[in-house]
Amino acid sequence: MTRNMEYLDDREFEELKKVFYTQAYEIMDDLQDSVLMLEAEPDNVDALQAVKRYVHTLKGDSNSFGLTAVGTLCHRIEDMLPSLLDGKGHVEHDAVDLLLNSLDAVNKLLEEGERGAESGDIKHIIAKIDSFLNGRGNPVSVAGPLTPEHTEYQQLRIRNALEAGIQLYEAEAVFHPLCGERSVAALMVVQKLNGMGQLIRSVPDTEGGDIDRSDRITFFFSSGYSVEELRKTLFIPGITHEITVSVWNGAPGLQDTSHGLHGTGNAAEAPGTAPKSAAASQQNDKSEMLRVEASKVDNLMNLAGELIIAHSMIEQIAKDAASDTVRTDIAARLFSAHGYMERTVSDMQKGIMKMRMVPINHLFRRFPKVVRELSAEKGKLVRLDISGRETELDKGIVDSLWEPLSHIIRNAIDHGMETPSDRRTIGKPEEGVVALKAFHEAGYIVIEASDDGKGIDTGTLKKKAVENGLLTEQDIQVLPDSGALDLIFLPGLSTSETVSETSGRGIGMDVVKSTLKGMKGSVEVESTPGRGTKFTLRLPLTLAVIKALLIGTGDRIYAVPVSAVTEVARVMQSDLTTINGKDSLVLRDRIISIIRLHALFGFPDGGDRKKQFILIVGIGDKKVGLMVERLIGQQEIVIKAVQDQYAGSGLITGASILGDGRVVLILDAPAVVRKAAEEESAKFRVRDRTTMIGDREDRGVARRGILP
Amino acid sequence: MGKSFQLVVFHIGKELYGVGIESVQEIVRVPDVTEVPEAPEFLEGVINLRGRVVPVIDLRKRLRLPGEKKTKLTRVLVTDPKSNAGTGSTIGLLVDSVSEVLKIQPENVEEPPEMISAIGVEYITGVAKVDERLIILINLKKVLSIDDMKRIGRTVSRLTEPHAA
Repeated sequence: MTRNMEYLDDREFEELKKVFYTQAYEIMDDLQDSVLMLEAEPDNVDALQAVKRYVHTLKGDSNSFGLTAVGTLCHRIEDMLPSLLDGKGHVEHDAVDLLLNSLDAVNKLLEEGERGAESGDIKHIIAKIDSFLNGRGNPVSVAGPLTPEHTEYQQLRIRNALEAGIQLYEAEAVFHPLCGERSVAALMVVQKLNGMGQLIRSVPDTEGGDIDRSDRITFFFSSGYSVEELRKTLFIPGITHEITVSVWNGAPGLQDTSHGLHGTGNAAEAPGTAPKSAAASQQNDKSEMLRVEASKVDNLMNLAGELIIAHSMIEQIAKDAASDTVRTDIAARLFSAHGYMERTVSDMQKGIMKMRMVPINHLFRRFPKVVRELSAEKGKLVRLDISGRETELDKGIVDSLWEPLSHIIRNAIDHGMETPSDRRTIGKPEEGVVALKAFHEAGYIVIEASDDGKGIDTGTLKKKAVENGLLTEQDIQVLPDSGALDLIFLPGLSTSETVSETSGRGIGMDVVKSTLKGMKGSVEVESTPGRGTKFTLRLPLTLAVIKALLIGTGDRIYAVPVSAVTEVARVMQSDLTTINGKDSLVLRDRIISIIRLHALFGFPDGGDRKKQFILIVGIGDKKVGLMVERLIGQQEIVIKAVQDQYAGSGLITGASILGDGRVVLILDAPAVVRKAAEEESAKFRVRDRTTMIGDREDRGVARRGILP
Repeated sequence: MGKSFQLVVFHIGKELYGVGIESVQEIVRVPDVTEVPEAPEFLEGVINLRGRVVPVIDLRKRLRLPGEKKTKLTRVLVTDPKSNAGTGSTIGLLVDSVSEVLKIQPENVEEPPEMISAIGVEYITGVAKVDERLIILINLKKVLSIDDMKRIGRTVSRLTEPHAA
């Protein structure tokens, strides 16, 4: 690390390091976005400015943090930025490629730096940039790690000074660590300078916001004084700390006035003097953000969860008191206090939940690069359409969605998308579309990933399933097409004829499915041959607290997420009709098959069959009626971790603890719907390993054909 | 001569079994147990252990010993997730009764003989002789091994590999 870090103790340094890397990665993400945006919209001046600003900020931050390799590389990247556009409003794609490669190198340097590893060699990538720039006859900057561009006004001053024979100087002043108001300090230095010469520019600009984040400032000026005289004058105790003055040749920009001014606004060349753009004000917003460790928020969330349990205990006491005639007044007071507490706890829990919510763009923003690289590699022409970027969801969920979603997207490009010539032959536009869409629906976040490629060939899937011994020929005969598509989620099935580098790395759709299931979510697939494929991922908004209906059969109580229940009906046995030997309910001209909770779980019938409740449980288009004897009520419940590997069940998605201390299991609604659908087509069942292996013996007849 | 160690000794049927005291977090009376549908037979269910949901395994069924009903003396041994004898999980083990904690000298422990009890030799780490009594030392790691449970269990765990069947 550089000398300016010496005044920090280890702990302070660690904190600084954390802040630096967090910010650096954020900048890198934003930077990559902007580059890709610029490529898509070459006339987007804001994007170009953003790219410049981000590179510049990263350079400054890295240099002051002491990660000079990043600073140096960023400096070279700045040199090539003017070459991104060809001046006629077109993007130079090789330049973008090189830029993205360089950014990868920066990322690598950052990762190495964070790990504390030796910085890798950047000569290679710098050589690439140099040869790129030389190939174009662009000047290579000779000044130190500074923005090479000067405005016309600055160039004029340089020219004037050179013509008048006045020496040009470059002076770097490191602020004293205890000097707080950097912008004021900088002005004091400028005042001193103005008494000795003429200031041309400073980096960062004395009037910009950057100055307060910078630990040093570099002045470019002309003066008749000597280096030593200047150094003495610029040293202001308590304000400037180290002064380095050197003679400056005025480069770059003098020799080639067009350099750095490629048709873009001059005002934006010097960071800080740029008009407050959207991104600039965004930076101001950031300063008001509080960075909190995720574990602290999680801890609060857990406490709020405990509070909800405590709160339902009070409800239980109030109910007990209400049933005691002597204590009715206490019961009333308890209920009123309980109501007040309920609102507060609920607001508090929502507030904490919001802290954990981030826009899904954090995830989506990573895909343009994936799509770009992979489609180029595979010789496909693919456009990525993203919508619903602002949709918010739990940070923890966002992080774990990257793998499954990138697997789906990679598959779509690698296997789903046709080559441009194939697409032309069949009358499709050459450019294929992969779409990512996110939205909220009934307490769930839904993410759709679709493509307009060739769709999934169910014939191939079936063949594979037989080859791999997952199904027999007879099974295939009776397998409906919708069931055949679900085969894709079986382990050991790859749709592609050849396992490719991209999608065939051992993780398959079965992993996608189990990952989603682990997050209490689900994944479904739809596909039309020749038209494309759509994956629908559904996840609860948060993993911690859900609204649930408590239902009972016999003494047993279960919870069903309210979000999965579309309606509750009270029925008599006589309301039911029998269709194909199965109880069904006709509800608004729709036949809904009924599944009894106790039968589903293999428990004895709970008794009174006359009046029961039917919960219409729906996932997408599929709906079933879940028949229960008791409907206990609606309640917020805290999802508790269950050690799935010991106490897992295909029909259960988790557990919670009620006010009376009882453990209730939370039904996995999609699994219940699936199971009901399977019962319906009793002749055949696709083996779903999450729900069906267990009852193999019970359904020996149906199973025998399927299992080896 | 190794160091002596302490055993939590418990009954299943007439036999005595023991596990190292360091792998036991606590011993509790049997609370309300919530059954888990479609679970392996040896999974008794889940319990509320001070706000945590903990699975309880019926050790008798797990070791395939002949059954007996729960009594007043039936206890749940809760494994310590920090102990390296377990699997890093907090799991309840249902046993007929807990009798005592005994200090054992290593020289009193013998290799498990081939035909010692009804349970498979792979679940035993050794046999301790104390005052003419034989205490079978349970291999908790093996008993709580998920792979092993899958192999023997009529399991529905989502981790189940179809080919393992």
